[in-house]
Amino acid sequence: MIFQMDNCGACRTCEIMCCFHHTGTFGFSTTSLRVQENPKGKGYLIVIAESDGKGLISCDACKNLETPLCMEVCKEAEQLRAYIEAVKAEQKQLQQVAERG
Amino acid sequence: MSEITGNDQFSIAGKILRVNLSNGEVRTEPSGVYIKEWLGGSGSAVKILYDELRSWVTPYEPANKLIFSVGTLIGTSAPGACKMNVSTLGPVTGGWASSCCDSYFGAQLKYAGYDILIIEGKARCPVYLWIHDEGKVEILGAEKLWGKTTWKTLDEIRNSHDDNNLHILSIGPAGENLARGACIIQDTGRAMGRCGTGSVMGSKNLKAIVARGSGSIKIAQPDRFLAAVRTSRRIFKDHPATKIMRKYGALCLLPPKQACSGINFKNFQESTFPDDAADRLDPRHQVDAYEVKKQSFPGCGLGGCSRWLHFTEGTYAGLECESCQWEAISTLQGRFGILDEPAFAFKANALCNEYGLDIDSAGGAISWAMECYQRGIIDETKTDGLKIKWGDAGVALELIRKMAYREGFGNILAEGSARAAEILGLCSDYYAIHMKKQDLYENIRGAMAWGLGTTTATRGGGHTTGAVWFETTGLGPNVEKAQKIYGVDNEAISNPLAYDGKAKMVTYQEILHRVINCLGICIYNTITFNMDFLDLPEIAEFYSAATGWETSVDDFKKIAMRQLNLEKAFNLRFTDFDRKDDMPPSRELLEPIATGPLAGWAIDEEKWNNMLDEYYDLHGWDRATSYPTRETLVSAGLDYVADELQKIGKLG
Repeated sequence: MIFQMDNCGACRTCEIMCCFHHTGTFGFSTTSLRVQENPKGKGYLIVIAESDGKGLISCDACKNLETPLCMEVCKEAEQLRAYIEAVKAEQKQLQQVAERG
Repeated sequence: MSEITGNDQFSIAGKILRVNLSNGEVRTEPSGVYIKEWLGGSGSAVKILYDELRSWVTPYEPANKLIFSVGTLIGTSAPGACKMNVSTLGPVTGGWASSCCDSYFGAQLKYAGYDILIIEGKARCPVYLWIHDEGKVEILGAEKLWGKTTWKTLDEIRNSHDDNNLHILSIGPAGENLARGACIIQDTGRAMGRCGTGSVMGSKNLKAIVARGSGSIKIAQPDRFLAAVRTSRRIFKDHPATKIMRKYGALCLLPPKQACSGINFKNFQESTFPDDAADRLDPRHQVDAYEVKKQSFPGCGLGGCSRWLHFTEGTYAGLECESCQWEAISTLQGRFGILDEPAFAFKANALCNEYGLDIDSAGGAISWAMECYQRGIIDETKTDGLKIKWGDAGVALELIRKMAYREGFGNILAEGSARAAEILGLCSDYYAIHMKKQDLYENIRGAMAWGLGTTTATRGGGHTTGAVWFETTGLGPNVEKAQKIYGVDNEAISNPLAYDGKAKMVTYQEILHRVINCLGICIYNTITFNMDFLDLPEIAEFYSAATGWETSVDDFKKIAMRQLNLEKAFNLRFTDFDRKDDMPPSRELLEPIATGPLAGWAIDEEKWNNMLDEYYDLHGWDRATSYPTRETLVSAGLDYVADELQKIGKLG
């Protein structure tokens, strides 16, 4: 899912924290979110992966932690939380559909 | 030095990349030991340059080396960890040249596998470096880029590599034309500004460096590191200074700078904006009107202090650029006396970024010329027909362009005010305000620890290697903490005009600045900017956890002093700098402040000299010459340096 975050400054610290969550190392290579230019509007676009693919791995909202690591470093943490929860809700819905099917 | 390799490498990529542009040779060597013993950044660079540059090398010849170093904590989530450094034998002072900037590029270089990049030799024709993936290095032709501004260069490179997220370092026309004050620009708006490193890069026919890395960085003690980073980041959360910086960045500084007579107005003739113009010129108005997007750098504990602006009206309507630093308001807007165009500093700053020209070098040379014109020393016959009056924004922008292209009168200005005055003669040297031949930005009068840290800087002025900022930005309520940190009494901390204790304050600041410059931590995340922010103990904790090299505050002090002594020795090898070059310029030393709250105050030369004596005593340097003593160098582990300085008659 892609969200517009008006006050994001594209530091991308969220990405390297996400990589740390998945791999125990800091980098851009293995992450569940990506900050991208927003050519049409304010701020930046935040891509949060619902499933593996396109160079991203599925966001698990740092399930074993009290606070997702991306939120620890983001000054717009509550906005990020809303996006992550939206992704989790979507993932849950898809899973339920798959189970029924 | 013993090697550190393989599984011992934490928080670093582990390699130095050497690229010889003369023969195209690319080789690597381990970086670990240079970083462990010298902290990385400018620390590792001074060691390499001191050991590898023979005394006959001059700045623009192929034998000079240009060293880019990524902060040791870059690429991790350490607060503010985004700075990288470039160091070389510089063409402005003729000695130690070193400059940092914020960067996205730094993390990419590190993730590509390199902590340090050393450029050697000279390419036969313009080239750029493409460093990518797991460390592959290509030297590519840059004929089509040569002549382009840094902004156009970024666009072209992103297009040709079909990657809009590439980050680069580049030079513009100023570096290509060897304007002495040419700088290196990261993307479009961050500069390794001072010391003329851009012209060294131009002398090597190196147009740009592009990096994209797919690797990652390990941490030695992850739980300890994350805990230390969490503790540090809590300091910034909800802090009033964080809020102000996020809104305006350093552009919030006009009121305190005006209050301490700390603004450069008409080449230091005055020290404030005129009272009736100050509000109109307050750059916060431009931010309020024209901000379109925030900009932050990796790891910033403040959540970012910059922004993109789009000017939709006025003389510069259409300009889209990154916001400037406070420095531009003083060194360009105030220094040229421009009162009628409140957005001038943003335009001039953007133009300097496009040309790859240091704003302080532009400010210094052009304001020297404006003062010479004011005083009738030069007229239009010398200035290509231009009437270079104070306050003329159009003329100032034209002179910036001429400097970048070394065109006409700009060819003299491109030498910097010190050399320009030598060329012109006519007693114009009094109006060339410089330190060690580098144009000075900082007001020295009115703030003694800020001033002393600036004048003694080994790279020729500048306020990021020892100047105590709060004397000009405001201390805030934490007076007791400041006394404890700097080891001085209330009078020294609270009175910028006092002389006692200032040498001790500068000594601490020299250490802190070097540590953060090497580790890559932004100054604004530290006590330099706000006394509640990061200090050496916090930094030592997350540095130790990240690297696995248990490092105390005392360890930091020893390493930083070792670096400083080597920078000093580097200068002694290549220049004739001594005590005279640590003294303020004549105008700052002799004239009273003309305007503002401190009008009438002047430096007491005897007290300044006493303060400088104390500074040298604290450093173990000879009072008469400023040369380090053998005892000082040996205790810093620099015995071989003492031997060399003895041979050239420069041991204290």
